[in-house]
Amino acid sequence: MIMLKKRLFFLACWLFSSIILLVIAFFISQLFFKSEITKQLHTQLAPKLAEAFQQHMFDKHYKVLVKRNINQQLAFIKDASYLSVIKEYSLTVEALFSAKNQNNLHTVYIPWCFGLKEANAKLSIDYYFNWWLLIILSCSVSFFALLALFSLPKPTSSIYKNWLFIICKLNITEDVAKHLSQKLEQNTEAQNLWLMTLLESFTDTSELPKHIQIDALIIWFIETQPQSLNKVSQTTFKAAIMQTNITFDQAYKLVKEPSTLLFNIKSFSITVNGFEIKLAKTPFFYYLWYASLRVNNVQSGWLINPSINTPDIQSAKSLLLLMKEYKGHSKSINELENHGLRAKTLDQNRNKIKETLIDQLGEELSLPYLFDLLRDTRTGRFQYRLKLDPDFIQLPKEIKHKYQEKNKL
Amino acid sequence: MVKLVNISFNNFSYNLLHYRLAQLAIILLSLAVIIALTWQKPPKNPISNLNYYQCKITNTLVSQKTLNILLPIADNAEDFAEYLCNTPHIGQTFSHINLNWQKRSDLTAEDLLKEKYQVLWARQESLKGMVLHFDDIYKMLLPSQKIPLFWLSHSEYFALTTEFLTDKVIGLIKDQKSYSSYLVPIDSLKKQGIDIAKLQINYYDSYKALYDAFNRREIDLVSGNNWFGSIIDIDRLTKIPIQHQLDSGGLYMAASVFTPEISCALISAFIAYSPLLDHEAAKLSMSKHCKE
Repeated sequence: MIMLKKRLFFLACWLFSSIILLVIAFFISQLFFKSEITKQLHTQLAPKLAEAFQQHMFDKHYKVLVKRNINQQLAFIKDASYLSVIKEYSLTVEALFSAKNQNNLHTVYIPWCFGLKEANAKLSIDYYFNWWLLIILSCSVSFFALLALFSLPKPTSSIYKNWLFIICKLNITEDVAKHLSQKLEQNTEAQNLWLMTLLESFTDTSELPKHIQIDALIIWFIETQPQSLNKVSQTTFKAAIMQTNITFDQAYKLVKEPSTLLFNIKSFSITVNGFEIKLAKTPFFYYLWYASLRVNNVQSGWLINPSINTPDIQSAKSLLLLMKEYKGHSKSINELENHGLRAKTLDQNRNKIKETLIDQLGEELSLPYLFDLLRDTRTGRFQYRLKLDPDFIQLPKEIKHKYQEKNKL
Repeated sequence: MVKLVNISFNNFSYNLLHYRLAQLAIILLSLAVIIALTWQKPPKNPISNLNYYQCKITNTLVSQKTLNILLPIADNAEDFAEYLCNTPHIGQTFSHINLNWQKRSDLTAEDLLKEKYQVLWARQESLKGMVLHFDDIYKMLLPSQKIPLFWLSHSEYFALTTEFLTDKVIGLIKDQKSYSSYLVPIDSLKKQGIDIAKLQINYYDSYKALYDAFNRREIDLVSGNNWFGSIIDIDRLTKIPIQHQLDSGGLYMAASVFTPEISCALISAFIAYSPLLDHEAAKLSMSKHCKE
């Protein structure tokens, strides 16, 4: 596609420059031809004219006779060479005595001596062009000129130089660096700024994780052309790509604001900004339950940890409802039924969620999906809720409805 | 470190200015090439001789036979030739009339011996001086006509005396065989006992140049005849007749092509020059062979 576009551009340039060259050649060849003819006539015609009037005395019609004689001899003059642009020309004496008042490609004035007076003979030239030759010449010359122009290496801009400098610093071979710099040159300023800041941060830290390849990163950047970069901070992006399991594409999506959390009840997994994380069954239900509290704004999503001695029966019931309906682990169900929701179990599951998320996303990226904690002033116990804004949490449809019905009841 | 230096050197060596210069060079080069390729030297102009007039004889009976005529002046050539071309008698032996004019001095003995011109207007003495037995080759159609000649001057009173001529400039023609503007004027001065070597004389290439100089008052004295009025645009002139009358020359025809009809036609055509010869013109038609 790009090649085709380039070729079409070349063709258009060729056509245009051929026409320009044709016009230039057309006029310049006439100009030079005229000057040559003028030179020739100066040495040929002028003395002949002077000679013709040597034997003349009083005949008023004699001028006409001389003019006619010249015109008969000059009628059509052919160029024998096939490589001549002007294949034929004709000269006509318009007047033997004329004022020099016209200056164009078709008029020549030849001064000659009429007695002691200077006279100017006015001649008109008609050119007959070898058009095919002229077209072929201008087309081929413009073709080679354009070829040369197009193959001229582009000059290096300061942007290119900057890129080359930074990329070379990151231990990339010069050839690759030049190639990449050339491509980066065409990006928008905002894109460049973002990537440059990111790369610069890599040059500062001497040790780069082995799995991160800067050239691959730059190629990814050039190919995807990420747009809304103002929503992606370089530090979090960097943190994301530091994780071995996250590709550049996933990292970009993960880091992009806002963070969204989606629960898949069938696969017991969550999807954060398009990145799927599989959770163990029981922590999944706890996570989902916390999320439902947050979404349904049950005490603004806050849940006070039960005390060590008295488990929370009320919460255990709603949690059980979820687990039973969606095939929760029977061991966990039994425990809840027998003992209620105990502080220890709750802490354990929260920690499991945290561990899994940190394992997959790293500490920095998992932060928005984890919990806020607050000490309850009345009981002195800790209370937890999901940090994420409820607008960005998406519960499975079925559950949403159920809870709403429950709350109404 | 070496790498960085290398890179910065590379970048420095090819900047935008060099790029533009290279582009300009390519454009200029292509212009030079197209100019060089389209440049051509025009073929030679075939201008040869302008001093001729040619016409085809009407109702001619022969295919390619030209009657070549030589005259010492260019005037009235067309009338003279056209008259002949429309004369029926000539068509029996000739198909074209070719009228030429050149300086009297340009005629050579070879021209006469080879009969390059079948008809000549020339002075008998110069023809005989060139070729022995001229009378065997050419026949005279008309004897030489006399032309009155004058000295002309801007000064109101003038005399051909050494005193008068000391501060005057005389104009003559370079052609030393010219009777009217070289030989006869000098002869007339010598007859007055004037030393030619002491005179200021300017020589000119053509009659036109001579009379131009006279009109511009670069020269004070010039010789002239009946037709000077058409060349000299000054009203106040003083004339002194020159005693020695000028021979205009006779009309001759090659004996090999001579016929009475053609000779009569030529004589009639010669009337075109009667204004030159003035009152003598009447004599032209008086040839014993020709009838009105």
